[in-house]
Amino acid sequence: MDEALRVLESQLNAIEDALDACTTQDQRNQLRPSYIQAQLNYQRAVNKIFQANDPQITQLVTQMKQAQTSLQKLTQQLADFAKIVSAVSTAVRIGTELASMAM
Amino acid sequence: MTLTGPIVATRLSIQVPQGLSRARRGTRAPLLARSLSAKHVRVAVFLLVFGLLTACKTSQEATNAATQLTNTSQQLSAYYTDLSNQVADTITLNEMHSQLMFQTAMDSSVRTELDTTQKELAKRVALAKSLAKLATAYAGLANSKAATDISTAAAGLATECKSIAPLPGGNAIPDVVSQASQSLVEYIRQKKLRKSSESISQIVSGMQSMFASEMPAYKSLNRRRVEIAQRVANEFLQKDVVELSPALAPALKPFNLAAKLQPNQMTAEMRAMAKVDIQRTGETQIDEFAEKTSSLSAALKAASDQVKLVAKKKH
Repeated sequence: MDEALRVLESQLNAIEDALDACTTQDQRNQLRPSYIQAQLNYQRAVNKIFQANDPQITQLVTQMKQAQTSLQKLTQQLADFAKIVSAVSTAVRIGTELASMAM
Repeated sequence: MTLTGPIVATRLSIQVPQGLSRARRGTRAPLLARSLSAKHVRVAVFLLVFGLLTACKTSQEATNAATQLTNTSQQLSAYYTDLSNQVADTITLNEMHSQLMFQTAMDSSVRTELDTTQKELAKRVALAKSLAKLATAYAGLANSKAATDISTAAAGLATECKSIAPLPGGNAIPDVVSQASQSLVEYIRQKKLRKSSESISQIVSGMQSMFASEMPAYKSLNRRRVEIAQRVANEFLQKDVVELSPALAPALKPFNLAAKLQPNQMTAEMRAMAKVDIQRTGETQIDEFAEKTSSLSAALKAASDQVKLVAKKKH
């Protein structure tokens, strides 16, 4: 694919060189259909490379979103863990105070 | 193992208050005193500290991997945004070129294909941004202060429990509870980090292989943009519609001088000089972009390897 793209790019450059070398507008106009076809060939080859990876992009985005959600959940759960112990600690303190008041 | 808040909390609450509640009842105090002799406490503290130090190493590696992943994802996002902008420039340049060469607008089917290229690059910009978000979430877990927080909270709990009735085992109890909690949370965090690192490493590796397979297209798009710009610039130069003063600046600026060019004053030498400048600057831009592309591919590979290292880390 890499080589094919190189060849198409070279073809495009060669026609552009020919366009630069033209001395009359008529000569340029004669080259226009070939130039457009060369542009299309090149750009379609580029898009083909990209589109071949479209399924992989969709899969990667899904995997990333899942992993991100999972990581955020884990981080939050660990943080909540400390909050729960703090809450228990406060409850014990209040319990102790209540017990001492009752005595 | 699926970690859920309540389950973890329950496990910890079993570990901590169980022994303490025995002490509160008083009747089992001698048993606890035997089990928490000074020697045992020292051994327990040593093991917990050792466990924490091992965990800290993994944690540091995970933090490093998260930092590397964040940097790489930012570079990748900037790279794709730049490439997308280059294709936008290519569209404009093709319009100019078509007008200069054929006195007509660019062919609509060529324009459609260029638009498709831009859409494909937009998908990759979004992909890179997703990777950046993932890197942030990964850094969040790697840099989580949960272990320190739980240690403080558990120490507080142990102190509160201790105040209910004096515990045999002395002042070391809150420390042991604090460190045990810290070790437990750190252990869970490390385990989850390793598991997450496995899947993240696969994701980054997938992105790297995609990037590597598309590298020739990225470099080619950049070359096309530079080459068409060079042709348009040369055409403008030929038509004598270019201001050459900036090109003369390197020779004049050191002496606080400025060019005084009059219309239709461009000589053949000046035109040739400008052409050489256009050619050389274009070549430099192409080389720099190719280098940037290769180093980004290497950075993706390195980030993937670093995350993989955390996944493979064993205590």
